[in-house]
Amino acid sequence: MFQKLGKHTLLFFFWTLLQVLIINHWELASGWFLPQPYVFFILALPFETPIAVLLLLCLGQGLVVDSFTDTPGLNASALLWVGMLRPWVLKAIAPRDGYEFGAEPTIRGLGSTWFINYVLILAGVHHLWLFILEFFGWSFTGRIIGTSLLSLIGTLGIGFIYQFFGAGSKMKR
Amino acid sequence: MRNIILFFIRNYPFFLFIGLQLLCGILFLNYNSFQRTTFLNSTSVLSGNLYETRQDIVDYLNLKEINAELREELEYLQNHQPAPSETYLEYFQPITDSNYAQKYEFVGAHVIHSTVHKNRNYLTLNKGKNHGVEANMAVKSKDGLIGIVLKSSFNYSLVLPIINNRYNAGVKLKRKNYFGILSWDGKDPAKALVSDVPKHANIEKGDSIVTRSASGIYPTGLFVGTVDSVRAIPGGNYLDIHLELGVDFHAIYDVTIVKNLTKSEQASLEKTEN
Repeated sequence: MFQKLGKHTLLFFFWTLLQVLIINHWELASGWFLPQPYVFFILALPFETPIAVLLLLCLGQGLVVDSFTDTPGLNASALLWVGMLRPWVLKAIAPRDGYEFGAEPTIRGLGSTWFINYVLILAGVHHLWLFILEFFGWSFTGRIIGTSLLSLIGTLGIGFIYQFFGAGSKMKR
Repeated sequence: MRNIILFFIRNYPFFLFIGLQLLCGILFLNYNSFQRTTFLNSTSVLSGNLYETRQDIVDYLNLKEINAELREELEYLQNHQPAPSETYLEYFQPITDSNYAQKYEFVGAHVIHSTVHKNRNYLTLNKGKNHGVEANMAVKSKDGLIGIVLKSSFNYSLVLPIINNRYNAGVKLKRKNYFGILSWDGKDPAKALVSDVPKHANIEKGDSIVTRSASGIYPTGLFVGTVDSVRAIPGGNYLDIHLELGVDFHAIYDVTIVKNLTKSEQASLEKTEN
């Protein structure tokens, strides 16, 4: 229990700092490529996390990221969607026999197809909502959709790199 | 009644979600007023310090380029300085003329964080109240106008640059003094718009646009950009002007904050008429 708490606290700092100190400073594809891998902190939380805790963590992490990007409420609002939809998405894409108790949402645990579905749905909603609020207006429709798709690919890619080479792959053993 | 309460309890995650979303919406929509009052921005101790540490690392890695830039500027200054023999006066002469009184004070700062690809871009500078930086001071670089200080904490300040869709400033045509309003449409960080310039101003491509200092914030005549294209608004009396900005917001680092020493005098004089 405490080991898990420590691990997820570390993950919180890792993903948040990676986002605000490194990835937010990338200036690639004139702003059409803005991966948001900080969602992996929420995505990697244990399945049995109570939804109230999940939502409050979403709000908290979102506001921390917002305090760095000077957009109070923007990332928090997008992340709340992830927290709200996560239990439903988990149910919808569950393997035939359901999840084992204590299983974790990783490629090692549930396979890469499951992981891709999981990330594409939840991070997709997050990215779309984030960029709708960011570029508010009909004249930006193309940009909103394009940026969401490109960034989603980036986010998924970073997730894959982390799953294969990062701390996650070792911890599972 | 009991059923309603049970309904709320059973669906509490949904209502919690709605409540938190509303909170975020309020924060987001009241952005400007919250920006001044809450800790949720990059001038706070936590994010400001982290950004500064990050910038220190980046600075160290870029020392070579920064050195080259400094050398270029030094050479420019040396080449444009009048020879010492030209400047001395025949005898000591105390200057009491108000023409020579200092009107602006300048303080240099570094940009420790900036964005260019958003609709609302901001810059964070590494100078704050401890260095005399207050809200509503102009910020410029050697290439021209950058923006205005929105808020300052003890060691950092937050700048609203031209490339933010909430930015507005009075500007004028350098050649003829026709004035208009500078704004940004959120599309290209190298371009800006000028509106409210009358049709008979005969603006041409390549004309310089400079600041007007209507509110006493900006020094008069500070370069903003050159006219890129001019279009008459059909059925209106005004021109729609697209501007090529002088400052490259992708690469701003050394900036100058401008304090107008006579701003309060101008403001109180103008206030008496309203």
